[in-house]
Amino acid sequence: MKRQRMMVLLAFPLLLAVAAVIGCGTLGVDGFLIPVGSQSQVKFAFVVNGNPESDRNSVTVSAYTVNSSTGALTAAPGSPFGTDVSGCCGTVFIDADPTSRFVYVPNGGGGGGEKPEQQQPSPDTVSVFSVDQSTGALTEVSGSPFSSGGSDPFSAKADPSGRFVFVANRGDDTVAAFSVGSNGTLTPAGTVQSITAEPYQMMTDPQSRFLYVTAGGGATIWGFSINSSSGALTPIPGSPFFVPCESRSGTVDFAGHFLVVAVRSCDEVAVYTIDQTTGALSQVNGSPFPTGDRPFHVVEVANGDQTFVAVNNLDDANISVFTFNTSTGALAAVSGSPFTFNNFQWPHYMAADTAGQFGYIVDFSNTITGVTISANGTVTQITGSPFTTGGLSTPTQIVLSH
Amino acid sequence: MNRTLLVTALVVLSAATTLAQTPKVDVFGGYSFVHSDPNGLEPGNAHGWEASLAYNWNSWLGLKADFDGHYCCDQSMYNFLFGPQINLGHGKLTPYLEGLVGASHGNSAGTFSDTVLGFAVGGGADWKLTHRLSWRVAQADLLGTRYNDVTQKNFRFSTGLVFHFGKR
Repeated sequence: MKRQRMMVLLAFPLLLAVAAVIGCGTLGVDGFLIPVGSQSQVKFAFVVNGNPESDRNSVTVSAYTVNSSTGALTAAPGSPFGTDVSGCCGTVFIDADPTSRFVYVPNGGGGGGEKPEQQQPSPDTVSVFSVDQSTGALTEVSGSPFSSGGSDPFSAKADPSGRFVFVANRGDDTVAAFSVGSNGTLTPAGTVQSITAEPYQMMTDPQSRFLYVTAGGGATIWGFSINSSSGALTPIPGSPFFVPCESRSGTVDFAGHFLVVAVRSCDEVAVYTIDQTTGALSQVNGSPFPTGDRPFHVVEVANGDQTFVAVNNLDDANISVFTFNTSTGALAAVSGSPFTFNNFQWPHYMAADTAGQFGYIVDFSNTITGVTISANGTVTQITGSPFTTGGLSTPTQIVLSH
Repeated sequence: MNRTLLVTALVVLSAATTLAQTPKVDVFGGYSFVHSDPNGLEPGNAHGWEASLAYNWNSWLGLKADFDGHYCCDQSMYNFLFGPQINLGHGKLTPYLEGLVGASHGNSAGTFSDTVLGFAVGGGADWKLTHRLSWRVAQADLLGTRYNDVTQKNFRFSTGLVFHFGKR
């Protein structure tokens, strides 16, 4: 009996050690213990009202609350809200803190125009707005706007943890990182990164390890590691990574394993495997996959066990929908794709509640189309859609926050 | 023959269930592991700990207070659960079942924090070492949480030592 007890007592620490080794072997920075951010219900939508006309200084941001049951949009009191974006005839790309605390607006030149009177110097700043948690109304935080770290900021990107925001400055081809204070104050993080192409849009992985920057006018994607403590950027070995043609925007999949990018000039969508250690990109087998004419943005949506990728095609005025193989990254068009709606003229941007409940497409018809996606990938409009932007200037971007 | 078999069965059953007296209170502490189910996001494997106190109402029914903490991926999760534990005997090996409910508190990198409904359904087995000490060889639970108003079905495994106090 004593021998049995001794054996059991000895086996106990051995079992603990085995369990710890197994746990350590499987424990890494991958994965989530609790679902946060993208899996929670959407609360607000923010729309950039770009400015294709000759007016100056009139890029605004509209704020909406999202009905969690129907997906209907209700404009926030005081919407739209003015920005410091100068110039005209274009847009900037904003972002929202994933937990709806702040909205970040890069105050660039707004794209500029051909006429001299449309040219305006960029203030080279980033405005930070706090979000009223009941109405979605925006209020600029104390100390805002903050320096963008470069010239002519064009796009902003908040990381999924909400601790950092990144700004792409296309006037001097730089990407700047900032930590975000509890009151919205931006503090520069690390060294401003120079790239040799005009930065366009930025994407992060769900674990906030890597930042990817598409380059307008160039067939490259620039990759950076994000310091988990400071937010400082370090170039990924092998960056920049080449795309078939000029890319515009994209997304990193829910698991952080793949980067999916709309390749505008070749009418394709490219899928890259992300090296989980370095962040380096390599195209998956079969990539790139054909889309409609002039794809611009990519969103990933899940419905039950099925995951989809949707791409908006500007010139075809429709949306291509693919099933997404989360193991290989391969895309396959769903039956009925591409999808279009009567109000589509130029569907410029999309955003999706990544839990698969609602998606929104802003269109140059001054409308916001609300949709749902079924388990087989069919896209249908929600009740009350399309929502009008109230006659405001052309909506060019929509972002959602939770 | 049948009577012999019956008597034999009764003797064996008595030995298995032991007429060793049921402790009044069992206190457990040990290592715990969770494999998460974050609703479509990449699952995480988390180390942690578990501690519990069970008051045995009688030889088969106890009331348990169960606490655990798990850490992974810049996130942490703590569960505070309460409910019945059904002991399937008190022999050398004591299997048991449990059904617990309470609260789960999750935190993500200091930016997300929430307290939601939590529950655990499962069981385990204790191996008696001494009159006052057992080894909880294994406990496996479906650990449910309700973050973001969606149910997560996590798997929890624990092992450790059980200290027995008092007698029924």
